Amino acid sequence: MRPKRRLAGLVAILACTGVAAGAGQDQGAAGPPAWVGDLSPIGPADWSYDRAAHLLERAAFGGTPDEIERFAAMTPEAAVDSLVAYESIDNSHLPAFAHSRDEQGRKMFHEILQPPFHLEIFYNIEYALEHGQSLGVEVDYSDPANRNQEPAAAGYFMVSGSRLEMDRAVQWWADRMLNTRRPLEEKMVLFWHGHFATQEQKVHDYEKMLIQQEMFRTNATGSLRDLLIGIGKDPAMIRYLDNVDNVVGHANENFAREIMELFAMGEGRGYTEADIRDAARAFTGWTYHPQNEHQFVFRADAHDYGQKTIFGQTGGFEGEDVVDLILQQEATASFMAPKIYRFFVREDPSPELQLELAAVLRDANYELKPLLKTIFLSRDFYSQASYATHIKSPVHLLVSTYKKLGVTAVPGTPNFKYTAQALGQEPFNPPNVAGWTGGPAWINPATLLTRANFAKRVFFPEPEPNLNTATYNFQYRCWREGCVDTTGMSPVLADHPLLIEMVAADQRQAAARQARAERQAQRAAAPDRDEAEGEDSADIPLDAGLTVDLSTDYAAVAADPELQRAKEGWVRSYATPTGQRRARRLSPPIPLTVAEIDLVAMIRGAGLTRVDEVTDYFIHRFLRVPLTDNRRQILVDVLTRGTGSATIDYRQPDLETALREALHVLLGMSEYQLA
Amino acid sequence: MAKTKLSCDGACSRRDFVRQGLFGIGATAALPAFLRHSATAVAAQALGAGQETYPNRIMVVLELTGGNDGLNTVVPYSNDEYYKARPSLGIAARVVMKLNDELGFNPQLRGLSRLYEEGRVAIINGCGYPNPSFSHFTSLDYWHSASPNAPRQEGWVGLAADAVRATPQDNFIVNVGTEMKNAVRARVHAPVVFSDPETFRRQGSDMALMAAEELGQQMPDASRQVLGFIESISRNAATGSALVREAVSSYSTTVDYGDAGGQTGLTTVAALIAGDLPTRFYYVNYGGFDHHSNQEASHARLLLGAGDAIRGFFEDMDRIGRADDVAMMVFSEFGRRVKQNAGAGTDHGTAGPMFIIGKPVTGGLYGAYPSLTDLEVIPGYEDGNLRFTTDFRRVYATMIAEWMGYDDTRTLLRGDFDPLGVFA
Repeated sequence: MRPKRRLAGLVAILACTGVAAGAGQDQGAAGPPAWVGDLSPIGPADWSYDRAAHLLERAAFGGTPDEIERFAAMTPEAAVDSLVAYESIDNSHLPAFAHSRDEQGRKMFHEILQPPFHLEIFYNIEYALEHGQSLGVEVDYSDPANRNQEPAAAGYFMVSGSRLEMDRAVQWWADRMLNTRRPLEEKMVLFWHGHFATQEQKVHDYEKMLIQQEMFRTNATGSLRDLLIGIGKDPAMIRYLDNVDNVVGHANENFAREIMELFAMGEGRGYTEADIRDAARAFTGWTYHPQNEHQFVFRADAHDYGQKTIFGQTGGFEGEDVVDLILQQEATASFMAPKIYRFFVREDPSPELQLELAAVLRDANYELKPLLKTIFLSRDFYSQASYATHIKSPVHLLVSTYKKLGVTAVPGTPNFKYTAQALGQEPFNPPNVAGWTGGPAWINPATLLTRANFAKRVFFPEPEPNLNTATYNFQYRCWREGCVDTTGMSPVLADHPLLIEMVAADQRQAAARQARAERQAQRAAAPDRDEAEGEDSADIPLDAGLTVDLSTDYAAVAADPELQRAKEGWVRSYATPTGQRRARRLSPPIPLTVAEIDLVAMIRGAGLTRVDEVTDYFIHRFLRVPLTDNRRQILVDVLTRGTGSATIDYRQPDLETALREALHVLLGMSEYQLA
Repeated sequence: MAKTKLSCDGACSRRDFVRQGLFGIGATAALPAFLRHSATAVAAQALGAGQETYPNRIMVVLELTGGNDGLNTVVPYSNDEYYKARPSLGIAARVVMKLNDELGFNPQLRGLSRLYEEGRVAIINGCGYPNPSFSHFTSLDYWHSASPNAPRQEGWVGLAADAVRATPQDNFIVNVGTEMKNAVRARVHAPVVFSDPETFRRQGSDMALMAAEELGQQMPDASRQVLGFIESISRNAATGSALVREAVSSYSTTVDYGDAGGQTGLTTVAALIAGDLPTRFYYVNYGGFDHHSNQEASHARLLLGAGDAIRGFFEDMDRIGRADDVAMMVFSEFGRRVKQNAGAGTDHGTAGPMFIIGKPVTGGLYGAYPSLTDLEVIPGYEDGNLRFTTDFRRVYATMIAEWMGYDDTRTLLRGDFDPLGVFA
């Protein structure tokens, strides 16, 4: 489309929706009250720019005006089809996750260490003392002071390495959500992640988490049966819900309970404790390969081949049979269909609507596409009750903000993971097996402030508050230069505008450290009553002036007889940082890039010349909820103060800052939290 | 900052803030239907809101995250089995602070011991639950939701807050920490979560902050209920964050909290209580108890820090005259294995002691100390674990019913859990 036509179209839209007048009417956008609860499809005559925008807001991660216009130009059916039937859309421009690798090209950590990879890293120490090695790392018997430290360090390497790679994977996934041409696919991956909630914090293996995510992607809008069997055979879930311990004679009910309670039927709906017990027996022997934990295996020797009675039926059921029995239960469709509806539409479907949705899912034999298509085409979906009433999830908020800003690469700062975490939705780490509650639970005073502050930090980047910049810079150099040279600056960061601020922050931290050290020295000079009572030799490494961090010279420590005597705390002072250092050396930190935003170009491209036009353009581009006149006027005033005039002067040097300030205010408003 | 963001700049006191800023906003009006009609809210509306039994009482929960070693906290110093299982980690009988002929505090728990001598500490031994999980995350989830082996989304502190007051009250629950603990998830109240009062604020230029303040005086489109809900929380955030910062910055104390006053969050809680926040439920945590190796020195440091911080906190409550109104419950997600491991540490175990602390507490020992010989053998953990003697939900019931005055713990905790008579 040529720029001129696009501009004309936009102006027309602004005019006909009445937003340019600043009034609070959006009644043309939301359907009439009679549409609430009506699953019959809307027709081409019901289609509009605002409704296309609504569809993209829910079934995708929002859209730019161009994208919305493209959808508005289709029929509603074609628009929904292009989102739901996405298999033919080429997505090959998206890069695969780039695993960090060591010099020999081995991935962290499965290809570097050897199984068993126990959940508790300290188990590795005990295992090492028993077997002479752990994780493939041998005990050094020649050094009695240090005999199990290398296996312990390997344990820390494993846990830190997984966490660092998981952080990189969050960034990779965020980019994928932003740039995919199949947005519904990624949105469903997000849904299934919250539904089959699994925490990396317990799994301790980023690669299992990524394998699980790919299973969600493959089956994102496929069949519920495939997903339920897929999750039963999923290595991350096998570890997370302990099916690895589910063996004949010692059934572990964890997975069997959750597949009924949380994954398919809903709590207390149509199953008994006895059903859970026997279902657990059917899943015995579903585990992963002992030498390759990323591979599902069925261990016949651990499987219970006895008769089981589940939902009143008796037989020698296997895991797949349990899934089929679950799908026969009334409770399953009536739990799953409303849950999907709530994720995409609103919190309060009526009991009648829930039954209708369940029937759609059941009639489609648990294929998901017909249900999704019904929802997105329904009058209910465009009704007043649904339109712009949904509280954005944190991940949606972040991705759609970048989308609407026209940003094409998720920046390193504000850090996506930390921001999403502070907002209550850390990818790969849902709060528990029940997943994210969602809806109004996203909103509390702290998260609301954080939402506004996120916008501030997109427009006015600053050093990461969650990331100690000294650590970060060291981490970066550590990676670039092998944790040796701490004098030179990394060439990547050297000319980065943020670096100046960060160096200043580092200096402030250094001053704080200095002050702390002085206080400690004062305390040491005047020992208080506590010391007489026997703070023991364990404290020597810390009190002797040894700062244990990534730069610690362990050779020097080992050469100091006094420190060597301090055996207590040696694991913490050697194995932890050594393992972490090795992991950091392999895993590149996320570059602290800032979002590439050019608001001046955005409004110039739209041909805007007055402050009120710009305000209305921003409102229209970023909000799905109309503003009252008074609230709109506050935004106009902010921008007028920033530009110093009611007309835009494109030669004004700080115009970009003024625009960013106004948009920061807009994105901090309650209205922006709704989609 | 050039311009203050508070509407009653300097002219009104903190107490005025509480009245005008928090009670004045009327957050209930904007509650969406799906929240308003939640079962708890409906039940309470029928009873009539505001009829609290003890409107001045405050409950503080301190979580010792990581699995505190109960055996080395309340030490069975006259039991040979203990020293057999803990050849190097056992706390010598001569150094324990004796509670009776069998049990004594770890010597590092000086602060708690002093409170115990004053009759302010109830020790509930052997707390746990059936079919214990050895995973930090799973077990914490069970404790947070008060629902072992059947997790649910709301937390027990959140549900207790909803039960005590069924209409939304700004700043009713405060969770000092970097992220919200599942224990405080509520249906009615929106918990305030922050770690650093200075970062719990809206950021931006003076102009942006002024605009935000102006927006706070112009209601958004009233036809959308959910928008009203967000806006009410937004105003709560604006006043609440100002209130928290005001309370913390104007607070100073002469009391010594030891080394962990800040890390435990207890100095912040004391500041907010001193600042007359309407908060009735505080949740804090203190981490690092997962001592799989070389436990002794590190565990000692943590116990010393926790005990001194707790004592400092209650000394501070005495100082500000709130000691009669505040009670604290202390727990950890599990205890440790009876036998020490090869690395001079201990692995994940089961039962452990809980504490209820405060001036109104009837101090002493509650619950039977678990046997060190009659152990529970759980598949995969063959070396044996303590059998719990008191279901932890009885301690919760004690806090909810006896202290906060909400009697229907049967519904809230989904089972019959008798309170222990700690506040009798």
